[in-house]
Amino acid sequence: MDVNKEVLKLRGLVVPLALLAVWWIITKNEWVSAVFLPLPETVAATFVKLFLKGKIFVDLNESITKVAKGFLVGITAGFLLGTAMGLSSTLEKLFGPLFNAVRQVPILGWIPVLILIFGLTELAKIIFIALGAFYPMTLNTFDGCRQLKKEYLEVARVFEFNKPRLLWRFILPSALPSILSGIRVSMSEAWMLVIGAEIFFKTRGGLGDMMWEAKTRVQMDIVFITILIIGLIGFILNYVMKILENRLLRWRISN
Amino acid sequence: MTQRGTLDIVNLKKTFNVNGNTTPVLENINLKVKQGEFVSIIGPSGCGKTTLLRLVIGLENSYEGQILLDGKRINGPGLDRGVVFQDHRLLPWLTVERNVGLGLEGKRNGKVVNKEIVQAHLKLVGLQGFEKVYPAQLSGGMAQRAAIARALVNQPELLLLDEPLGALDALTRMYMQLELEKIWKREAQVTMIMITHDVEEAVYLSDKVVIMSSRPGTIKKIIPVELPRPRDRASYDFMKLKEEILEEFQLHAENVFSYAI
Repeated sequence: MDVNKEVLKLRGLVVPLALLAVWWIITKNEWVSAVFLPLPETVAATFVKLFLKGKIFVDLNESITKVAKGFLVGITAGFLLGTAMGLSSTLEKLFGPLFNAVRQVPILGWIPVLILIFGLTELAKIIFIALGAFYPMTLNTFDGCRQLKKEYLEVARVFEFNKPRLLWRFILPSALPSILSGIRVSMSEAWMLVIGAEIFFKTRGGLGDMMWEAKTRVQMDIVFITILIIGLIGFILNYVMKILENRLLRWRISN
Repeated sequence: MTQRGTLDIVNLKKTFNVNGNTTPVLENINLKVKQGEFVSIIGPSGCGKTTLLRLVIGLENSYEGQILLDGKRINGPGLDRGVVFQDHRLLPWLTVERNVGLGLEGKRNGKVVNKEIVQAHLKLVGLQGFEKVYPAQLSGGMAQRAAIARALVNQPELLLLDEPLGALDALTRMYMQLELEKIWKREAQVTMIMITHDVEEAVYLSDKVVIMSSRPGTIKKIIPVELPRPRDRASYDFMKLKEEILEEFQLHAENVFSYAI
């Protein structure tokens, strides 16, 4: 029985492996020029080369550090604004409309503004990433804070809970599922935006820069490798968040 | 001086405003409950019995007349009253232990003392060994036991039960009635007021059954139950009393033999 389950888990690999096979057939038969679509072997060999040279770790480290900073700033701000608007309808009326209007501006639309104000600096990039993490975090936290049912509020009143304890024992735990999915969405948003930040704010270092450089030199194999790494790390981050969610929300699982 | 756990309701009147119209919900309610008494309130849906209980809990506030607990007017909820709702209302994100200890969190007893109090109450309701379990993993009856423990943890003077067994299946319900009686005996100081739909439950548990009628909600009759405990549901006196209460609702079976030739 368990063997079957293990086999079923591998179903997710079927399509990627099929694509790899198609890729290999196309390149082997030279249906497409190797300039645009390098052989899988070439990509693998380049990967090993980059890996041994070590430069790729410098770029990876650069990108991850930037994401971490932007992500933390973004979710902290989002958590604070979301909680504030979730708890107080006055604050919601004050900030809600502005937030919802500003949110409509695509994040890419902020690039010129950020460049003009902050220049091509690290700070500009971090704000850019933070902005991407900020929106989903705010929305999810806000929604979460409104989840608490009236019935539970009565329990808090019966036990004479004050505001801070109401927040800590009732509102935040009931908001937690929503907050955690906010964090997960913010995390993948931040990870996607770091590539944009490194390309558009044209500075050295990072996976985005590595990819852009390779494009200029028509090194399709390196472009492929960066895409693979970006995808893989995004996948891992998502997976880790899922595990964290299951752990923190184990009270939802019955029996 | 009035004894702890004495409830006095005097000329209580409560109205609700619906679309600008004032509708009376409760009128001319007079009720005295002594310390340690078990009182059931029974009546048709919409007779205002839940509103009456919510007023005593303090969740509804504006009223005319007096609701006095130990001679003091009730204004808002307080830890001198424990509440058990029909839906157990345990916090799903806290373990049974934490849920039961909820009312102790504001007190500066120290962790060890609080843990002991929680343990004692888990034992009282027969939930030892379930400390670390989450409410979603409990059956309906067990969840309601935990809710009762949670309500008793502050040693309230008054335990207010809003159809506490209403959501349980018939067998669990009878079993829980036995348990509730045991708890009531053990916590002899605590006055208990229970809302119910179930006449048998009321007769089985109560010292007094308060029968309400609706529109507006008034007290129709207060029937003392003086049967010795533990009560035998099959005894003649028990059945007769049940019949008497059902009669108040015009629900008793006509004497079938009177039609026989």
